[in-house]
Amino acid sequence: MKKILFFTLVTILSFTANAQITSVHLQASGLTCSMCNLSIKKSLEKLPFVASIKPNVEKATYDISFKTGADVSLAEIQQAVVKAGFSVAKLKFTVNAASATNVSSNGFELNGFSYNLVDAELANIATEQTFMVTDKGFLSDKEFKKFKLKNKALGVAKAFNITKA
Amino acid sequence: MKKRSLTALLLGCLFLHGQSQELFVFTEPASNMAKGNLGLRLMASSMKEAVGSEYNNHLMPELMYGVNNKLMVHLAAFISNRNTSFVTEGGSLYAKYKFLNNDDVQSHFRMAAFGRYSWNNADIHQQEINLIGHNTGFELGMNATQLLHKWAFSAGISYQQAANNGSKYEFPSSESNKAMYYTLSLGKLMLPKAYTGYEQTNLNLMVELLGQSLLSNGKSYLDIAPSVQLIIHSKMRIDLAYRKELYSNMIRTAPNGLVLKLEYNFFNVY
Repeated sequence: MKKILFFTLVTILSFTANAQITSVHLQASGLTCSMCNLSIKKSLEKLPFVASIKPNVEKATYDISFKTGADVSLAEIQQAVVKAGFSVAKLKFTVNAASATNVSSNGFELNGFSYNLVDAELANIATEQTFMVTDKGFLSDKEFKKFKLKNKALGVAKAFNITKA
Repeated sequence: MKKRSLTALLLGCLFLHGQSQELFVFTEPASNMAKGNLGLRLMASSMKEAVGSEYNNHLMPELMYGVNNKLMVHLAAFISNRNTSFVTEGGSLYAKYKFLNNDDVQSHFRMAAFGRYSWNNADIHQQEINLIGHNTGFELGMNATQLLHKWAFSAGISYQQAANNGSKYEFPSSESNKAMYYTLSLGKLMLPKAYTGYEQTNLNLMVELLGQSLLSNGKSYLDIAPSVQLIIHSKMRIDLAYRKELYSNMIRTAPNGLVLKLEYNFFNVY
């Protein structure tokens, strides 16, 4: 009995572990110096769900991987860059398709966060699908203008406008 | 000889390519430190007295802290041997609030408002109002900084008002205790040509123009200050600058000299 319970638990846990954003690729704006770049990396490292960060100092990009099973908040990632004194120019995230719920042509839900596709219909999510957030604060001002009218007013940090990347 | 070649090389770079980025020696940019970061700074200056061959040596240890992404504060102490041996003559509290932030990839335009209160118990010995280690008083101002890839430009304007230096030294009523202070700074990142990591030493070259006009008598000065800056391991800063008077019709005790600044940054202190 205990064994069954244990295996059920392991199955649930591994399912939860899969129900995740698997990685984030972000580009920061407003900087060219390595000191500024390091400030952003240190600010991102403070987030409890971040496992590791691979920075590219020249391009000011960061490839972020996450702790297994942790709830990833894209809003907190964006805020960490702002707290360091800079902005997000681009944020792409990759999801594990198996974990998405309420999948419709307009988007999906993942771990209590909802994602609204702004410009393409979603027939089905590939096993590993990458999206880009199109909300204000997640793009440079220039790029944001392209999505301004397409974005839905979601207004909460638990819902994001996205496009296929 | 080595020193001379190094100076020649650095000056050569300055004239060939221009200057460094926005972490200037004599002025603060409109950008702030990251929230929760702590910076420790030590500034040492050796300024030659205009009359005679004496040097005024000043030390200024400074603590800097990023309260949030918009507000940062500095606390500094002024130590000098201008009169006797090294003694602490005063201190200052500085705060800067960034109210405009336009970021783009590898560029930004930012504006900030700042205020400083300084106190000092040394004698008042010149017409120049200097809230960094000489006068008690306050300063209110604004600055704007543009970063464009490897270049940075910054301009600032502030109102300064001096008061008595403690109970012992009154501010002379015959002199102007109010001034406008103007700054213009240019900087350029020279090295590395391309970043491969945080361990690379950055070389920045800068030049700053610093001017003051006394409001009651119209007297003014204008200084130029070229500097070389090294950033080591993306955490530590070493600046070496030379401040030189270009023009002045006011009494200044020691306007020309060398300034060395060391800074170390601690990330996510709180």
